[in-house]
Amino acid sequence: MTRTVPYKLVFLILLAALPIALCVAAGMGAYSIAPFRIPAILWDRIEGEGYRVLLYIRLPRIFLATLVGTALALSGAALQSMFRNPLADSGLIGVSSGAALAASAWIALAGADSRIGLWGLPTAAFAGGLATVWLVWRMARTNGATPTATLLLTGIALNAIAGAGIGLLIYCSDEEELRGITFWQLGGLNGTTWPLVWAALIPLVPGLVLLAPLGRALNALALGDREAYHLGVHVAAIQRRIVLGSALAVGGAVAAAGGVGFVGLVVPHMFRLLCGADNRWLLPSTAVGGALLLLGADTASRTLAQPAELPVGILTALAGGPFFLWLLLRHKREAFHA
Amino acid sequence: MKKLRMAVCTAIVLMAIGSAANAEEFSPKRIVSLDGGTTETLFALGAGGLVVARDEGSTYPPEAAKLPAISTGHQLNVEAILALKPDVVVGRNRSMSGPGMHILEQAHVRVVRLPDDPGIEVAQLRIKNLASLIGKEEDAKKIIESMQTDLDRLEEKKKAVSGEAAPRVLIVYLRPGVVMMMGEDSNAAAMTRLAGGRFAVPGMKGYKELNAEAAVAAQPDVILCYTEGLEATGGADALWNRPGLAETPAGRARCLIAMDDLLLAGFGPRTGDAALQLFDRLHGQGTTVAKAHP
Repeated sequence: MTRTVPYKLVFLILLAALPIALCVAAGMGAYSIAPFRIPAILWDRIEGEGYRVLLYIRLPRIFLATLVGTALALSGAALQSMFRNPLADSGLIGVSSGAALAASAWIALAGADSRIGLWGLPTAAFAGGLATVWLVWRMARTNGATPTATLLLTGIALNAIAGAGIGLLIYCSDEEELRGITFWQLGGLNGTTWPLVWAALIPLVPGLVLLAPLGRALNALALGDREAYHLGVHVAAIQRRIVLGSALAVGGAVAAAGGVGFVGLVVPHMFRLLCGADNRWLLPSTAVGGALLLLGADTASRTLAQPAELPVGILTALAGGPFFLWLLLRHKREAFHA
Repeated sequence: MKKLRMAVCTAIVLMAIGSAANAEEFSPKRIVSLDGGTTETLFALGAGGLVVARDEGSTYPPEAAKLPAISTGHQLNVEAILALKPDVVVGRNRSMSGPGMHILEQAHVRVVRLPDDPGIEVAQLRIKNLASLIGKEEDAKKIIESMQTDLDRLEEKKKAVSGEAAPRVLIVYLRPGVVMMMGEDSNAAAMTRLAGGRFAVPGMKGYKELNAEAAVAAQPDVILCYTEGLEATGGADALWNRPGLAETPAGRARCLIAMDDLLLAGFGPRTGDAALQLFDRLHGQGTTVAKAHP
């Protein structure tokens, strides 16, 4: 008894909304540029302040928001399906908490006399995320296989340890470092430059390429590891692929944008509640949905409080939370099957 | 509102000092200073020898930096303060909040709170208050006189440039990963106005992350920051690499002024000197200063 919307319709609506959202985002900002002049400015390369603001500040940021949203949502969807656990997100394999620990350590310890400038922090975060995933993976491995339950529990344990580490760093840090750590954890795309976008693409693209075509395999995994194996799915290889793909995608996303929460957890659920759990449609729709959510949240974050910035992590939760709750209350019954 | 707060603070200080004077000629022997400007003033008054501990922000003069640091801004170790057996704990209101002060008072330590507000009158008032606490009124008079001389020279210089448009100043606070901006209610903004600069984002209060586009929209002629933050984040080159700042008029002319935070925002005994220095950098030919030493 499901009263769901057709998969295709939702996917097409999301896909159609993306270019509209991109145009709206490009037309808004603290530096006012008339939205209808934007095509002319870009096309004719009218050199001037407006052109530089658009090209060097606004566009890289919009581009990165789209990518980061896609990466977070897609890996969230893949991990939820793999763990067969609705609460799973990229945090569970340790990538977010590892990145947060490394970033906090960088701010509290190395930040004081860093000469590496703007690159040290994202590099540290990315390395920390990847290292933690590797650790989780190695520890969860038993006799050549990696049982999903063990992986989940190992992830939870390492999360707790990373949390303690961050707490310790907060304790040791002075007021300014504390502020740096807090702001990093709330996430933000304010520092985006084209070089940062290109650098983020290096892990993001392989991550997305690994995750995107997994719909059919994830559908089989949903039945259980053993059942999937009997359906001809190489469970261990798929698991490895999901963990590696998520680590790269989320690691890149978090390194570039800080600890943006909520996107990976909630966007897949929104789609499941609306349509159902068929991963062949879930993965692409979630990817586009995540891009939309983060694009919207980031646009709000750079315009609502101008000339200041609102941390984007607050806004993803603020925008997505009530909508998710509304969906949940409307589809209470179906939620149990999701 | 500010005036009222100031008046109340002054009254409290005067009452504290008054009651001290009534009770058998109180003269402190061991002082814990919880604020950089206060420590600096005590040293300037020739009472540096009485200071037994300081907060982490007390970095000037160099002898003060050698004293044990007792508080780290957001945490105050009351037990460590009591262990030093001070007779006075003194600081500005902001550094004196929290339950710790109450415990100190219960332990019969005299807690003296000085007003926070920036500005010349309050700066001079703080010096006077501290001087009467330790009986150095004569030294205070000298410090205030020399401050006044600096300020008079500043007024003359301001008159000389009164025809020109005041430079628009964006005050940033640099931490790894974040560029914050300081609002018009900050001490650094007050010093900027004193030195003849114009605050580039009018209406902005507090202490907020700076939006890259808003930096361009504010059209600042000069970026002002603390030396410490600039050094901690990779120097001037890294600053201009942050999106937004390079696209401002200040960025195109590479106009950056870095000053020691205690000098720029302390409103301590060097207030007049700091205002003169900032004026010269804002208006002088040497505006393109990448790094300046206090």
